[in-house]
Amino acid sequence: MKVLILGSTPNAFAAALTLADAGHTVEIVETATVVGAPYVTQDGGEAGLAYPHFCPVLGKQWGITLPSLAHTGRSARRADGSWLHVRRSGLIGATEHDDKAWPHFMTLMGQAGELLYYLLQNPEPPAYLAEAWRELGRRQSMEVLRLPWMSLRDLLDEWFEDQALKGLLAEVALEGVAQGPFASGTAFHLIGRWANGQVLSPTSLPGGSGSLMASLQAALEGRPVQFHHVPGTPELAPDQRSLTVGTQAFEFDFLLSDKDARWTYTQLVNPRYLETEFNTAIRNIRGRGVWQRGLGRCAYPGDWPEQARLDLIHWEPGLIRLEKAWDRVKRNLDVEEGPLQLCWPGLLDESRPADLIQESFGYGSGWMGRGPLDVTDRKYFTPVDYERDWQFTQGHLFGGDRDLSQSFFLRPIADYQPPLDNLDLCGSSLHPADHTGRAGAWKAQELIRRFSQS
Amino acid sequence: MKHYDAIVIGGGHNGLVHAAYLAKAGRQVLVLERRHTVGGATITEEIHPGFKFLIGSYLISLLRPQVIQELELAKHGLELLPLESTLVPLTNGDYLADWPDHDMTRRELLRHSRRDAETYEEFSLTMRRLSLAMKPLLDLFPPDPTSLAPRDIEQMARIKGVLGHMQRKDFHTLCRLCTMSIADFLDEWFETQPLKAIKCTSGIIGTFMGVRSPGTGYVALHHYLGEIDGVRRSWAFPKGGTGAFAQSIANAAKAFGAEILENAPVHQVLIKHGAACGVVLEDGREFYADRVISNADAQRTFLKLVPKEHLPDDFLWDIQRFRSASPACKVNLALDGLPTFSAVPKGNEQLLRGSIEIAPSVDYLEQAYDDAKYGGWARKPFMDALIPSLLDPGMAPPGKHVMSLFVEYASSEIDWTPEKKAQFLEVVVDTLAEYSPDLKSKIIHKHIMTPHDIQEVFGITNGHIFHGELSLHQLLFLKPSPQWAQYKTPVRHLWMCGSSTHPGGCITGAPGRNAAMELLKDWSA
Repeated sequence: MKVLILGSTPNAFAAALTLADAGHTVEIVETATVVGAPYVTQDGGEAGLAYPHFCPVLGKQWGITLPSLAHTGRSARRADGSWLHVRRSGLIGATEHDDKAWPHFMTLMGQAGELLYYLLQNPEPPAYLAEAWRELGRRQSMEVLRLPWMSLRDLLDEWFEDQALKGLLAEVALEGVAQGPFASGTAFHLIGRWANGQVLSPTSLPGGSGSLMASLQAALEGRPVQFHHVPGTPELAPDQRSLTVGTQAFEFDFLLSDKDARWTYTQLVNPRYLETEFNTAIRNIRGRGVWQRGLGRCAYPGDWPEQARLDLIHWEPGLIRLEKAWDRVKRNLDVEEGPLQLCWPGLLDESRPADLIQESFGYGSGWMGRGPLDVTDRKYFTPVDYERDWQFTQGHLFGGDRDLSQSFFLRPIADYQPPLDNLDLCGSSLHPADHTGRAGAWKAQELIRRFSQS
Repeated sequence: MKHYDAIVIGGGHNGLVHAAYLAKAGRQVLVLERRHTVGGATITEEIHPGFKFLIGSYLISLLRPQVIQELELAKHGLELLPLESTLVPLTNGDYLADWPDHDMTRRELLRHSRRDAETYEEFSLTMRRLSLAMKPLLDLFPPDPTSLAPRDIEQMARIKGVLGHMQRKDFHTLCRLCTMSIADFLDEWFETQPLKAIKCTSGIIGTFMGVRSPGTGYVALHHYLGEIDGVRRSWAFPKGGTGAFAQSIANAAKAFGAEILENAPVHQVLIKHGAACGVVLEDGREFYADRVISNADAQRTFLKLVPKEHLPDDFLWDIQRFRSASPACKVNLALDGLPTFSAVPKGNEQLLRGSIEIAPSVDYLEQAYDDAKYGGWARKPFMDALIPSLLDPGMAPPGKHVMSLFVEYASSEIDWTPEKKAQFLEVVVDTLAEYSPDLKSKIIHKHIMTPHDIQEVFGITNGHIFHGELSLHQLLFLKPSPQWAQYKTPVRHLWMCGSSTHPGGCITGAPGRNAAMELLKDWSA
C-alpha cells in the first residue's frame, strides 16, 4: 500500500516508521512553512513547545535515544521580591504549612498521574487500571477519584496557603489551556502535566527541541520513506487518490493527516462531501491557542538567586492574577497583566547562547513585551502565527482542548469514525492528545491490520 | 423522660420527610426545630403585614413523586399550581417566552430564529432522554466504589445498568454535558442569545460557577430531572407558598405519629461510648434516642454540633474542605399593584404569571459571575422573578401583589453589614426597574436575604441553598465525604438526611427519603 502522511509532528514520523516496518511505501509531506512544528527551534530558542517527550517504547524500537537536559525545577518570584523554589525534594522559601503539605500533595498527584499515564499509554483503558486504582487503598483511591473534576482553585486552596505556590502550579497546569483556574475540571490538566513530568522536572533536548526532528529524520534512513517539504496549500483531488501542493502532486492509496481534525475536515476535505452531523461535531471542537512565546536576548539578572538559574521562573504567579487575565481573554480583550514564565535555556545547554531568554506570555497579546526585564531583539510567536504558518487551527498546538469533555473516547469527537474510505487522522487530535508519537503509531497499527484483512 | 427511637435535628423539608417515613414505619420520632415554625428554608413568612414572603425556596419541581404519594401529601394540604410560562424581557423592548406547551414555544422561537425553532425539537428530545436516563440515580443510595461488599457491588451494577441502557449517542452527550460548561453546550445548539441565556440559567441556580465554567452542564441537568404531576421539566408553585408545603409534610409526619418540637435549637449531639444517644438543646434540655439524624448541612453538623474529639481527622478535613461558598440571595417585594414590564405587550399580561428571568444574554450572566467571584456582587445581577400573588391571591391583600426574586451573584464572603445589604438591595431593584419602569413607585416594602442572612436565619453554612456546591467532585459517592456518602457518619447511630447528601439540593425530599430507607434497613439488620 502506498500511504501518504500529511504533516510532520513526531506522530507523523511514528506512523511512517510503523507502516514502513510493515512493508508499506510511505511518503511524508509537510505543507507548513516549517518542518516539525510544534517543535521548532530558532536561533537556539523554542518557537513552539519546549519540552518534547517521545514515547520511550517506540523510541527503543527505532533506535531513537534522546539525551535530555532537566531543569532543576521551578521558581516563583513574589511581588515583594522574595522567592519560592519548587523541587522534587521539597520547597524552599515556603511557609511551614505548605512545607508540611507538599510531600503528601506530591504523593497524591504522583498516584493520580500514574493512573492517568496508564490511560495515555494505551489505546484502550488497560485491564490493570482498576487493580492499580484499588491498590491505592480505600482513602487514597477516593481522593484520586475526586481530583479530575475539581477546579485548580478548589484543589490548591485545600492544600496550600501561599498564593505564589498555588499560582505557580495553576500556571503550569493551564499553559495553553483556554480556561481559568476557577473552572471545574482544570485540576485534570495538572494531573496531565504531572503524568509527563513537566511540573517538577521539565526536560529539554540539547540544541533545542528541533533536535528531536533531526533524530526522527535520521531514523528514516534506510527505510522506504520519502520526506518532502513543500510549503503551500494542499488540495485533495476529487477522486481522493492524489494530493496537490502547488505544482507537485502526490499519489496515494491512503492518506493519513497529521493535521488537526478541524483543519483536516474543513481545509483539506471539502465539508460539502461530509454529513451535516459530522461537520457540526467537527465545528464544535473547542481549541483556542491562548499562550504565546517570546525569544530575546537578556542576561540572567545578577541580583536574582543562583538557585533559580536552571529553573523555569514564574513571575508573581497567583490564582487571582491568572483568573483575571482569563476574564479578559474570554471576552477577546487585551490583558494588562497575565501569567509569565521565563527561562534561560543557554545556562542549561552550552550549545545555545547564554543570554537567550525564552518567555511564555499567558493569555493575550497585549501583555507581551511588558515583562519585568529589559529584553532586546525580541521575536514573538503567537497563536496567529501558529495558525497561519504552522497550520494549527486557532493556533492550538494539540488540535483541540484536552479537557475532560474532549479526552479519551470523546476525542476528537464522540464516536469518531473516519467519514472517507481512504483518509484518516494520525495526530494529536486523537487520543492521547500529545506529540509522543503514540497516536501515530496506534493509527498505523490499525491501518496495517485493516490492509492485511482486505 | 421519654426515650425516642429517633431524633431528627432540624425541621427542614428533608428532615420532615425523613421523620414521616420513620414514623410511618412505626418508630417513635421527635423533630427538633430551631425556629418558631418548621420548614427550614422551605417557608412562607409574613414579613410585612398582609404580604406573605417566600424568604427561602419558592418553586417545586424535583420533589420526588414517591414522596407525594407515599406520604399522602395531597391529603395533608399540598396543592401544586404549575407555572404556565417563562418570560425573558429584553431591554430592546422585545421578549422571549417559553411554555410547557411545545408548539407554543416553537411558534415563539420562529419569531426569533427559524434555525433555533428547528433545533429546539431535537434539543428537547435529547434532554428528555438524558433526564429520563439519569432520574433513577436520584433514588439510588450511593455505593462505595472501593468496596467489594455485595450491596455496594449491586448498586454499582445498577448505576452501570442505568448508564448502559442509554443509547450510545446519548451516553456520549451525557458525558460531554457533565464535563462542559452549559454555555458551550448550548452554543452547539442555538444562536438566539436570550434563548441560550434562559437555558443557561438552570446551570447556575444556587451554584457559584459561571455559565462558562465547566461543570455547570451537570447542574443544568440536575434541574432538568424534575416533574410535576408527570409533566417533565415543569415547575410549580405550592398554594400558600413553600411554607404550606412544609406544613403538609409536617401534618403527614404528625399523622403517622411523629412529634415536632419548635423553638428547640440543638446545642450538641450527645455521644456515649462512641455512639450518638441524644441531643442537648441550647437551653439545657436533653432528649435521648437510639438514633440521631441530622438534617443540618454537613459543615454545621460536624463542625458545630458534634464534638471534634469524636471525629477522625480525615473526615474532619473532608468536611472542612467541602465547598459551600454561596452566591445566592433572595429578595421579596410587597407591591401596591401589578408592575408593568415594558417588554410585555398590552393584552399579554398572562405572561407575568410564570417566572420572569432577567437574563438577556449569556455574556450578561457571565459578567454577573465575574463581578462576584472575587468576593463582590454582580453590578447587574441575574434574577429569577415570580409574582406568586398572581397564582395564589392569598399571598397578598386584594389588589396588592408580592414579588419573589432569586438573585445571583453576591458572594457569601462579603462582610454583609446593614449598609451593604441596603446597597445590594438597591442594585437589585434598579436592575429590575430597567425592565419595569413603574416598579419603584409600587414598592411598599422590600426585604432581602443575603447568604449571610440565610446562614443566620436558617442555619445553613455560608447560606448555600444546596448545602454545598453541586460540583462534580462533590457528587454521588463523594458527597459530602468520599468515605461517608451513604447517609451514615463516623459516629455510630448518627445519620445525615439533609441536602449535603446524595442527590443534593433543591426541594427533592430525596435525601430524606433515601436516608430513611437506609436507616430502616440498617435498623432491622
